[in-house]
Amino acid sequence: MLARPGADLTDVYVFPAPHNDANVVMAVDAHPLIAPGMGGSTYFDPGVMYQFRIDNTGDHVEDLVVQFSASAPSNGSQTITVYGPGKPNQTGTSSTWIAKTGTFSYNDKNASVNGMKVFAGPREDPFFFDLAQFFKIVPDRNFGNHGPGKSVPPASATSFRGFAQGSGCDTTASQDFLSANKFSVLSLVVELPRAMLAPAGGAPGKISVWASASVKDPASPGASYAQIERLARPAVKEAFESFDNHDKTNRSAPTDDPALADAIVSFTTTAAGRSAATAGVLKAVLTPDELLADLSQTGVKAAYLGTETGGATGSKFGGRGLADDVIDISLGAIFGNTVSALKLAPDDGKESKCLTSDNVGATGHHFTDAFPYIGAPT
Amino acid sequence: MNVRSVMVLAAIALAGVAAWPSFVATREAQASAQPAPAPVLADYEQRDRLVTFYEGAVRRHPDQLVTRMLASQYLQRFREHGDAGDLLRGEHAAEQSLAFQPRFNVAGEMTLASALVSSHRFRTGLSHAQRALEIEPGNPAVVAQVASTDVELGRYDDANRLLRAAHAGYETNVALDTASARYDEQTGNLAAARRSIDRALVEMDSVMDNPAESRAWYHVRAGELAWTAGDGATAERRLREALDIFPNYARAWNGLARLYWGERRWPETLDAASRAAKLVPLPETLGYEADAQRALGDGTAARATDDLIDAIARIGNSGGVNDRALALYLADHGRRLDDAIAIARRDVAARDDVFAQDTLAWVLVRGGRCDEARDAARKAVARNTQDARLQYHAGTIALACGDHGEGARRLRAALDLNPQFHPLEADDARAKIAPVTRSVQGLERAAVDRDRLAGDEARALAA
Repeated sequence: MLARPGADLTDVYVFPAPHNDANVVMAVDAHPLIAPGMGGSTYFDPGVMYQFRIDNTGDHVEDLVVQFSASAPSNGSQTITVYGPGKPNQTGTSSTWIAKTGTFSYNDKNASVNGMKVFAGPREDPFFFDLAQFFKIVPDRNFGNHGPGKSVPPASATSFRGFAQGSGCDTTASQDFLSANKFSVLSLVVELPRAMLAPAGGAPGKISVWASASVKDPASPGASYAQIERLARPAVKEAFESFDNHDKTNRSAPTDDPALADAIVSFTTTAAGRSAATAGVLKAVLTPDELLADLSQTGVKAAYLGTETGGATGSKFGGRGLADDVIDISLGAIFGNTVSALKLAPDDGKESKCLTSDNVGATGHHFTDAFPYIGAPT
Repeated sequence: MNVRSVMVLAAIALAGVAAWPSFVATREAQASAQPAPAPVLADYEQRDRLVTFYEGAVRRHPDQLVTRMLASQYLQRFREHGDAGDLLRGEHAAEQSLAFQPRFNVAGEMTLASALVSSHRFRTGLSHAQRALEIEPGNPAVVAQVASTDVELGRYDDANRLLRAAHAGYETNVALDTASARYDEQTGNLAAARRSIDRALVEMDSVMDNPAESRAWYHVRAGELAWTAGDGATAERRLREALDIFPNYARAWNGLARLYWGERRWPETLDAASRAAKLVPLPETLGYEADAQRALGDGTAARATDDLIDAIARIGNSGGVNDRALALYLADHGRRLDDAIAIARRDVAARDDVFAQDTLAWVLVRGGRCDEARDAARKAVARNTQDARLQYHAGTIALACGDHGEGARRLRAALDLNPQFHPLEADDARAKIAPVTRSVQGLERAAVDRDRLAGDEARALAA
């Protein structure tokens, strides 16, 4: 099988609209590693159905979807069609288009459709992480180290970089691979009233969001699209799950990925050396793999895992903000004392302080005050 | 003849496996078959900018990831424009990537293997591909890279073993289909080769982000196989499609030049060959151009083109990348036959596949060395390769060595495969078959008569 960059989803974000608290913003990025200057000539894949899937009833099954399609590129642009938000024709990994809502142009940051602000175009990749050092610490997660019948090399580092002198950890400079090289992605961003995502007849409350990419289903040559990529929480699938299971997970629904739950427990207790209780908490919090946000929380910013932790990460809105240091939050939970500090499990005394932060922040990425909030490529 | 199979496999592997560092690669989505061709992006127009960017990235923040990505860009530019300097640069950048991460660097190994194979350093390329295979024995792109290089080296049994085992795990896979097509083409299953390439072509065309050149390559390959099978109409259509996808594709123009050359459409041959030669002056292409110039009565231009071929033999044949085409051209035109034999022997030493043995056999018989030619020709057709020129060469050599039955059979096979495989040799085959056939038929009739007489005598004695 071939990689399909246009269907390769990299990150999902859900956060309150900065200047209109009645609105919420959902963003999904695709097509990683667009080199500087290439953004304007990189396009959404016309063969892909892009979707936000939203569960607003707590059963982890999508009640609403927002779908996007892209026309063939022409004269440096594309026409993007948006469908929804609306009830899906069917739930799960097979999808068809729901009623069309409207169209807009590629890379037009002033577009709006039916009361929603919409954007589809190149943006600087907002994700930040010291990737190279992560591979040295956990070589098992390097794709290049995987394949049947081979052995993963031993770790060549036991600490992230960028710690203070005297910390006992690696003090060499950390580096964010994406911002260092100014890579971009293709972003789909929609800002819409929170009420649009409320359950029928109800008020906006907790929602779970995940994104997917689907292509025409060869087994069903009609109008059906088959899911080939699913993404919600950052670095969950990638960090916890063995590579061999990724495709299976990508083609499954959130309610049907027991491999991920098992992988979280396995990784946490073996690679991270944590207690079964800590692993159990992480499994409970991180599965099903959906981005949880509480739309009833107003006047606050997004905070990754905030809903799950009662606001311990910043606010009970949860979701994921562009500048949320999701890697540090995740590392704190896996290698630090976040779980015990929240009294979710006893302290197992097995923290690894040199692994609790990659010491890479949002510096170097630029976000904007106005829609679509993710900075244009520089 | 078709090193590009290996190169394209590497491109696929690098696009799918290695172009992006592993963390994001784990996020990759995988494509399903999609019948409708996706729009074509002119990504090649951005190649120089991408190379410049990655060169800067390597200067600023060198690591195993950006060096490998730079190597991939160099190799893609080589595929698009044929500048051998890009091959060397790609090789160097891939070596840098392996220096940063010497172990378990599958993508680095694959990139370096691709660069080496493109430079006709097949055995060294194979060793790097095999290192990748040791790390990832289940990766179809890596399997395909090793198997394709095995085919180029004439290690057909090794290739077959690998491909059969790998195919068991996949319904369809572009890399495996591409490698299998090359194997089947050389081992007597041209129809299967065409099916595999057609399937891979559809898959490649379904993804908009596949490089235009890579997509076009599959159309060229489909055209080449159609031509080998004597299906000129399909060949021309596929080659023209390639030019629609990737304009100024030297390989597609070269394919058209060969098609028209075989059909003795000399003005079209000259046009296509000239276009190809302006882009990448390969001896094969220049040979078509010179033949067309001669056929159209422009002896002066033909001599100048011959001189250019000689110049390329002297200064533009680094690593022997043009050995096979040069040896064939010299043999076909009865020029510098001792040199041609030396060149063909060098080609066999570099990669002992059926085409190398065929080239050697042909230059040997043109040099009057019948017995040696016969040995090489037997090796060339030992795999029942369905290639008209191989069959023609083997038949002509058999006739020269006095084996009329074998000669007629091979010549007939050549014409059955492609009645227009060569502007002169196809007619030559027809001319040679007629008397041989009459002679063989006469011998066969005589034998039948003898048998009948013997039978009559036996019955008479029994009575």
